[in-house]
Amino acid sequence: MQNLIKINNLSFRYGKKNHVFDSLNIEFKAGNIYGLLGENGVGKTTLLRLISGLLFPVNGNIEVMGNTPGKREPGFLEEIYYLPEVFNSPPITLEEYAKINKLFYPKFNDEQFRYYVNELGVDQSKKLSKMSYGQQKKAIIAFALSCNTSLLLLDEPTNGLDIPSKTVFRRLIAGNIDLNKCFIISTHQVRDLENMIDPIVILEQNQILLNNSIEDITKHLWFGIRQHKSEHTFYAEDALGGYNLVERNTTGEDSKVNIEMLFNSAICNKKLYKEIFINPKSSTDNE
Amino acid sequence: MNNTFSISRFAKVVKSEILTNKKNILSSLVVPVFLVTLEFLAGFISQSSYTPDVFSSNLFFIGLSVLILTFVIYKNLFHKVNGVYYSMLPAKNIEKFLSMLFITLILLPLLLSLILFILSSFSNLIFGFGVENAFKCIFTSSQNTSSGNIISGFVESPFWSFISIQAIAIWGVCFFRNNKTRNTFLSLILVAFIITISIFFYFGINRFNLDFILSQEQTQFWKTVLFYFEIIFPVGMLSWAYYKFTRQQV
Repeated sequence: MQNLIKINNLSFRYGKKNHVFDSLNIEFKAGNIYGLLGENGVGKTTLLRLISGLLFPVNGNIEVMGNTPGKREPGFLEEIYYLPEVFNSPPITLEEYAKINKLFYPKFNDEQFRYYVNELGVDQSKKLSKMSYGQQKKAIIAFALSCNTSLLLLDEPTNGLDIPSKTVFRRLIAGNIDLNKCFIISTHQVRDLENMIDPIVILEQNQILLNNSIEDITKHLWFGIRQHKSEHTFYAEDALGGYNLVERNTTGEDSKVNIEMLFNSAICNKKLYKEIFINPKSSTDNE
Repeated sequence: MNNTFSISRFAKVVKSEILTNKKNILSSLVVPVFLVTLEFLAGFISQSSYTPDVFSSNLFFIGLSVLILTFVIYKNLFHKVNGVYYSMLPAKNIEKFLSMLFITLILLPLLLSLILFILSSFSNLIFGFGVENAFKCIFTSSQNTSSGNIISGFVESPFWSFISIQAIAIWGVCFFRNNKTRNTFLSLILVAFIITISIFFYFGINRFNLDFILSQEQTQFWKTVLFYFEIIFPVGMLSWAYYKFTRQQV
């Protein structure tokens, strides 16, 4: 699959001392819905903003669809939509908002927009500034998906959404992705996005702990409940009838990834995860 | 993918700005027109033979309107949240920046002139005299229009002072991170104070009266002041604000 984003030796800091990234390397491919996970302050939003061109790297380079994001060229901007956690809600109706802004996105689809608005239950005739936060978010999500940009960056998209809307959101996202598009979703609400995000990227201070597909993860790790922990257990939580475990998959047994457990396990075993997923060669050597 | 300046895209940005800021633009039109009308009526009622000096009040209200609207519109461009929308809008930076300049500097004064012209025609019909042609007030000099020299009238018109006023508003929203309105206002006072002190030192304490200073209009001193205030200052401020916008990180 085509590489949409190439990040090489990226360094970024706020001010002089607050280093967020130091020589970060990562690639994002088309046809995927990436889940960007990480603890507070590790730089999830910063990474999305660097990809959008809202922030400029201190060192290294970012290439998005062959463009340098920081130049903010129209040809690049019409192929990317970034939905921040806190966004602009002008005192106009959603209908007017779409009418004004769709002109800038050549692949905007009116039919899709009506469908998304209807599915998410947004009142098109109400002013965006008068809507609740959740309603505003649904309105902008409907618009963002209808733009059909190659790259869609969503920062905490499920924050503020009610439970039925989260289900609809998952369905709409899954229905919108195709082989030419790439979605990157940054979130803390991992359960909201379970069964949807693949691959999973876990960011840690200045490094990446994991950037792998679900298939890759289950090849190396096993998730499930057992009565006892073993020498292969990476992470365990008390559960009814034993322990909820993340273990090294030594038998090749298939299991369903529990993203919350995966995240907790990665945070507790940073070095090990880097050895397994980021530098697998050295891991094999060690074994 | 057209990454060069595009007139059609510029028009789209202008349209989008007008529709998004329609309430602010409408207020910027209604308030000065209301104030000019009020002043005209007050003068008319207090003495029937009185013809108010609407030339200067037109200019004052229109200038104030341009200043406030510029401040409100450009504030979005350099805003932590709204700035994301503007930075991500698929248009060239120069198209976004100029669209706002076009609305506040060309469209608003022209619309105000048109409304005041209509108002003037009505007052002519009803009272027998009308308010001064606002278009003339803004785009021509009070001295040169009588001689019919349109070009030099435009060169010396208050329009250029509007650009300077606007440049200060844009500089204020771009320079100050917090309390933009208060800080810009204080900066304006500071600039006015510095100019007053400079004039004071230039002319000396004995000759520091307004009539004398204004009578020196054709002197080299005034030409230098106007050159800096109406050309160097706004060009510098606007270029700097544009550069800050292109390098803005939000």
